[in-house]
Amino acid sequence: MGAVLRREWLRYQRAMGKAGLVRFAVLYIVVFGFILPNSFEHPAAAFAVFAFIPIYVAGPLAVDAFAGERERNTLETLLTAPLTPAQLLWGKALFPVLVSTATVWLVMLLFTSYRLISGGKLPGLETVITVMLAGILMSFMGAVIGLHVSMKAKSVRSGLQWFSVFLIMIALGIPAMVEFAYPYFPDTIKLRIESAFTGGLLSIGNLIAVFVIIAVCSVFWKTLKYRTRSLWIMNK
Amino acid sequence: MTTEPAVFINDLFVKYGDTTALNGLSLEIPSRCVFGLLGRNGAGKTTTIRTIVGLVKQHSGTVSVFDQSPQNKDFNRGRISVLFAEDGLVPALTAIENLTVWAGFHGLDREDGRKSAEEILASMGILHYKDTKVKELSTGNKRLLGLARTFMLPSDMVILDEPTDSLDPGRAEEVRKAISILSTSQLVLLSTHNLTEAEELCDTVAIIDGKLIMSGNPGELDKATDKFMMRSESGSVNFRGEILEPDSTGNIILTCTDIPADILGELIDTGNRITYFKQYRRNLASIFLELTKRDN
Repeated sequence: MGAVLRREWLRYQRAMGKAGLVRFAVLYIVVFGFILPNSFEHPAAAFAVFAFIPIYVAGPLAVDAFAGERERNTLETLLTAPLTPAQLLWGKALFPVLVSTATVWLVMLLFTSYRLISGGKLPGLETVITVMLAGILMSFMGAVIGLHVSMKAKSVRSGLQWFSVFLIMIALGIPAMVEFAYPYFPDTIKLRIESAFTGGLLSIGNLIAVFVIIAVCSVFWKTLKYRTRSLWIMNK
Repeated sequence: MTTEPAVFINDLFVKYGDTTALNGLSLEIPSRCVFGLLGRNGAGKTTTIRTIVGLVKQHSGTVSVFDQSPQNKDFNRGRISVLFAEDGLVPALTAIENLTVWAGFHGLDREDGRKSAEEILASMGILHYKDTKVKELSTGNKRLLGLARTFMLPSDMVILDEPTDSLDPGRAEEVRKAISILSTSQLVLLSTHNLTEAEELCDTVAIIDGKLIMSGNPGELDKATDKFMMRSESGSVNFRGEILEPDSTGNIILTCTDIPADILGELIDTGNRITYFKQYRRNLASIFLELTKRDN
């Protein structure tokens, strides 16, 4: 797994180049570390942004995992290496998770420093820690979705298009569905939902949401393991 | 040395969807030799290789590689080193990074991997390219680097899939030299449709076309035939009372089972002024063309 992870990191570094890495860092710092969180007045809401950014960082990196190998004609050779499917999958999954988590935590640190210097409001430590942990979870979610897309995509470009469709469905589809359906819920259900989400970040509602995300990730991960094993059957 | 074959394939059928790639292939590859797998494009050479390394699933038949099924999840892929027609090198990485990463897959730490990589690059005379990105290398140098990766670590079998394909004659010769040096005392499976290459490098060859057509030693296959080609000053020759006329290229073809020296002596004694005389030999190229002839 370590060798796969190293290969991914080296390839990413070399493909981006020093100038590319700097451009990438500046873009993320400006957009995700300044413009986006500053658009929210409430400090907790501003920090909540950092819990969702990782999916946008990890996903595209994960899309490259297998689609990129296919595009570069390196997949067949990689499959002849003495790697187990688990080693290959963990290496391919951990790379986007680590890069996105590290990126977002760094951006979060810069944002916190900026707020401290400018005298802006900051949320409590509980919020910060929760957002940091949620960031890891969302990185993983972005990675598993990206890897699923990557398994099927013939090229990185088509994979990214599919991943974007998926993200749009999540980012717009779920809130739209909730907004559409919520008014039709009986008042007793509405009250229960609202009370579940009161009580801070560790409320029952939030815990259930985390549990659902973990459950979804687990299902995705299990199917990914199966799909990784099937990579070795080129005539399936 | 074991007499057991390293690879044993029996009545193998492999399909890609509705297309049958291997149609009852049976093959035995000895444990120490350079084994040539010959066949036309689409004859199933790459599919045979993929089957040996466990990348395709057979529909029926048996495949055993070092007494194990390649489909077995405990199958040790580290025992086989493969160079596919595409080099499989990561274009963005440098030559040395490609090799050290590959060594890492085999459990070598960075220092040992680097040492092994530098040794093989030096032995192939391409050490000066170690810090060059693969995408900046020429096709020939990429191929040499692919060979370096394939032979860098000890393995029980090396598989080379059309290693000189798409190379100019000079580069192809360089690659062939490298293969002949690197393949000493090692099992090498060489898939090619280059017959000169097969004759030059292989101890045993198998001609396939979905299934095995024939196999043997290229030297043994190179046998004299009972056909002779000749030219004479007058154009035609008189042989045992029969006048043999030249074909459109000016050559006269004679079929006779006698000893060549006796035939030539008889021709001269009967007044023929022979300017050229050659016995046809049945070589790998003629066998290959004869056996892989397909109805179009």
